[in-house]
Amino acid sequence: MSEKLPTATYIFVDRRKTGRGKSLPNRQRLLRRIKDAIRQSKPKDIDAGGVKGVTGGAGPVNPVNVTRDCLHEPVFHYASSSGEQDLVLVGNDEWERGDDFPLDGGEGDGKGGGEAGQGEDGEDDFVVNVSRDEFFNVFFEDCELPDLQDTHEKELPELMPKHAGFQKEGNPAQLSVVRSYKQALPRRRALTAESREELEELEAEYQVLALELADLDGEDRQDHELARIEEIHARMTEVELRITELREKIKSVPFFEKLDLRYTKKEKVLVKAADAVFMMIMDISASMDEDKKRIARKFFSLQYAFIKRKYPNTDLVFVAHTEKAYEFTEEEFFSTRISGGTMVSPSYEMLNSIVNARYDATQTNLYLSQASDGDNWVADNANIIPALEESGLLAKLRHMSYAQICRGWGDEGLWNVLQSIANTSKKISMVKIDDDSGVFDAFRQIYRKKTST
Amino acid sequence: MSKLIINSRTDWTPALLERAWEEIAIISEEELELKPGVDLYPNQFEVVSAEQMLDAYSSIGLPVHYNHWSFGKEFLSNAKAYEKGRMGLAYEMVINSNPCVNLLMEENLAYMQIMVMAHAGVGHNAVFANNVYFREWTHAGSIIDYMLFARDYIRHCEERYGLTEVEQVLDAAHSISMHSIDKYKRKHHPRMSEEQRISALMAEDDRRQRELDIILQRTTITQSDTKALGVEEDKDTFAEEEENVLYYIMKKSPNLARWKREILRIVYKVNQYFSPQGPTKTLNEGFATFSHHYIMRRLEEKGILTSDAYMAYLQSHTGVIYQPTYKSRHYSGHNPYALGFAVLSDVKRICDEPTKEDEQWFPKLVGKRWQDAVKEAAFEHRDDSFIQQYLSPKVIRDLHLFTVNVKHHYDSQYGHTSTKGTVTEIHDDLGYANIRSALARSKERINYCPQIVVQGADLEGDRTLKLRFDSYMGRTLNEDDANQVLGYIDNLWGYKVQMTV
Repeated sequence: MSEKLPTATYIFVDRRKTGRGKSLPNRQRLLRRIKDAIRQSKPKDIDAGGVKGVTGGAGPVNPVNVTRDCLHEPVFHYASSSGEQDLVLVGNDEWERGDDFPLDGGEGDGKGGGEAGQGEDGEDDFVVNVSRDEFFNVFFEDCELPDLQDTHEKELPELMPKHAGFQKEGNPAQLSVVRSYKQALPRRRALTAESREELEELEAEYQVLALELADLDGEDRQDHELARIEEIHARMTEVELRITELREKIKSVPFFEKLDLRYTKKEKVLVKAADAVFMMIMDISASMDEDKKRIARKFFSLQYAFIKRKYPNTDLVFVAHTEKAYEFTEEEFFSTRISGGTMVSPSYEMLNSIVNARYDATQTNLYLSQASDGDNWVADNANIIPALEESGLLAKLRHMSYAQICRGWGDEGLWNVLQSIANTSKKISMVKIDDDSGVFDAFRQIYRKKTST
Repeated sequence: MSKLIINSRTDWTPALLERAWEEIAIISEEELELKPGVDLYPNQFEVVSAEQMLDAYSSIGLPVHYNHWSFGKEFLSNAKAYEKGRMGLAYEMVINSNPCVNLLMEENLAYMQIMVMAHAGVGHNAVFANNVYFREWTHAGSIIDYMLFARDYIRHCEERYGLTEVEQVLDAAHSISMHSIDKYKRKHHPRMSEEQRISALMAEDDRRQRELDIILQRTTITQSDTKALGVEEDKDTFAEEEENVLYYIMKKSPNLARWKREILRIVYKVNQYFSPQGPTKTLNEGFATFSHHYIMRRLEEKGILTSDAYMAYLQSHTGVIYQPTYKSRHYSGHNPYALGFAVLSDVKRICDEPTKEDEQWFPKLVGKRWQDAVKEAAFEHRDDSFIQQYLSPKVIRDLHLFTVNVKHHYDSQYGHTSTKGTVTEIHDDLGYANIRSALARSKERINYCPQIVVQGADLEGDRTLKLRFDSYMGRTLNEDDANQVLGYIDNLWGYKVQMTV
């Protein structure tokens, strides 16, 4: 296009090739904000339905209104039903002065004055739906098992392309026609609806006219019939013309727009993961009341979901203890009703023998996570160091976490013993959980990636 | 050169649009008496794709804007609606700048592009360049340069202080951006000639670049720096009751970092620039619609638009001025295009063919040249005075306007609110004046933006910031949101914030 001197009164510029994707940084900031909010969130229903709840299904995370809250832009505005307003409405069809005017339909309510106040309407219609999978992916994104080591030293980790949905940009070879078509359909429907309706009507009319014409065909036609034939011919030409016009109009709505195009997306995925075993010890003794058990289960559910999603090849070991240690299946672990006294050391002993029997500790990343209210039988506290440290169990572990579930400080015996080990070994993370929401803080404290800075 | 003829299916070409604009310019100059380049800013027509139009939507029309997640939210919700076919894109987007930037979407046919050029390139352009509020409150010549500075400065802050820090300041500033309007006008800035403007801008650009470099190196800005940034110097004294909450915090917040103050100033400036748009929406869209309709009709009469192109145009035009009635589920108040167009068209009719009724209601319009009357209506007013002065009984009758008084009564004993609506005026002789006043009043700011004033701050003592909400017609604030905004203000102020309601 021609560029005129700046003194001209106009200039045409073709912007289509340049200045694209201007809002990209804004969209990136939006995503960042949503991700931040998800990471900070403390979903209420994390253990709803137990283990199945956190692993199965792609349903939306409810009632996690994370995105709604984090995308809200508050301003000062009037409460919707307060005080008095004089509305000026359009289209009086029945009203006289002094009539009671029904407002329950909401018509005109708060809107009669023209532009609705900012933040009054519409603003929050925009909700980003986050599926359960997406939610957890983000939630666990910056978390990792500490000190995970590649145990397959000889085999180089391999990156394999894997189908990973669709994207808006890509090279022509990756264009997914079916997906793009689906994407374009509603837009084209909406933009051509009127024309198509009219087209159908006209086509039907044309058929009727043609039939009538066939009827009239023959010899000895009377004057009025001839006139009618004339009329039909004229109308048919008219209809034909309009049909052509409409077809062109429908055609002129672009089949695909840039916005509709979708390309298949491949992601490189690390196929060879390190072997790992994740072991859990849960205190189910009588001092663990319903609240504490719920919190403990929630803590383990979250870790369970984390492992299942990020380290799918990991073996899981479930141990629960009263004064005795039990090895459970997943289901038993999350639903057991056994109760009794408290001794912690037998669990360590049991784990140690499990490890020795089943795994090659030099080739396996071993993790341990334990939750208790700390109320150990006093005499057993003396057995902790022998069972955990001197037995060599701790040395085989990459990392161990201990979560004490109680309001206030509770019993400090077990805590103190473990703390004394933690003081010399960086392998142990000690956390306290006061209530349900503390589970998330504890989780992040343990598994948040340590930045090397 | 063959005669320019455009039918309903003609595709646009750059050459065709240029010729069409020349024709539009002739009608604008000779008949609407708006001379391009003199009464109008020079036009810059930019052809863009649908996606670029969405981009432009999300930055509220400015070609350059600083980055913030809320613009991304805007983009996605528009894109979603568009992809689902729920929303056609607006035909036009126009920026109050000098030169006046008009966006033309590539998929529009030629007759649509012509309508857009007439609507925005003549109509909106004329309002931007001549309306008293735009002239007093905005600097069309320097907005883009200022936005370049704003974008770079905020980007720099993001790099230096982190995305989150900057985002928090912007979130807080946006929450009170409605309360950053100065009550009294700034010094009037006369328009400069084009040459003066360009040389002044270039000089300012140089200086600004130097200043920006300095800021980038030092991170803190001193008072003299902000002066050099081309920001008009600010009043340091405040009215006893200050309505410009954002400005007050920017100037007086006890421990706010310099860069945060500068960000507040940017939000204040941007808002200042947009401040005439809301209160002139009806007359602005009205005048643009009036202009495009006049020009399109004349182009058809001159044989440049064929009658089928004109019919196709009329379809778009009637869509633009469609006004659903209160019973329709599409009703969402007055369509400013429809209302403004109806009022201005009627002003022209009163000038040309007055009735007895008009002689009684508009003695000053009768016999006046319509060009003068229509331009005065669009250039010397805001929507409230525009409607108060020009809404005629005929338009009230045509639209069947009526007023309803709505009272919400909160019953503290039962803890629920009852609502009663009463029809107060209808479109008859007794009602015209009151309906007109009610509609004019409804365009006043207080109806959509609650009045919040700063009562002062105890700067010598515990530094509490005192705010007050003045109820209007018994209306109260939405508490949840008010508390969230107060939380933001808290962050900016750094000390206690109190609001009496």
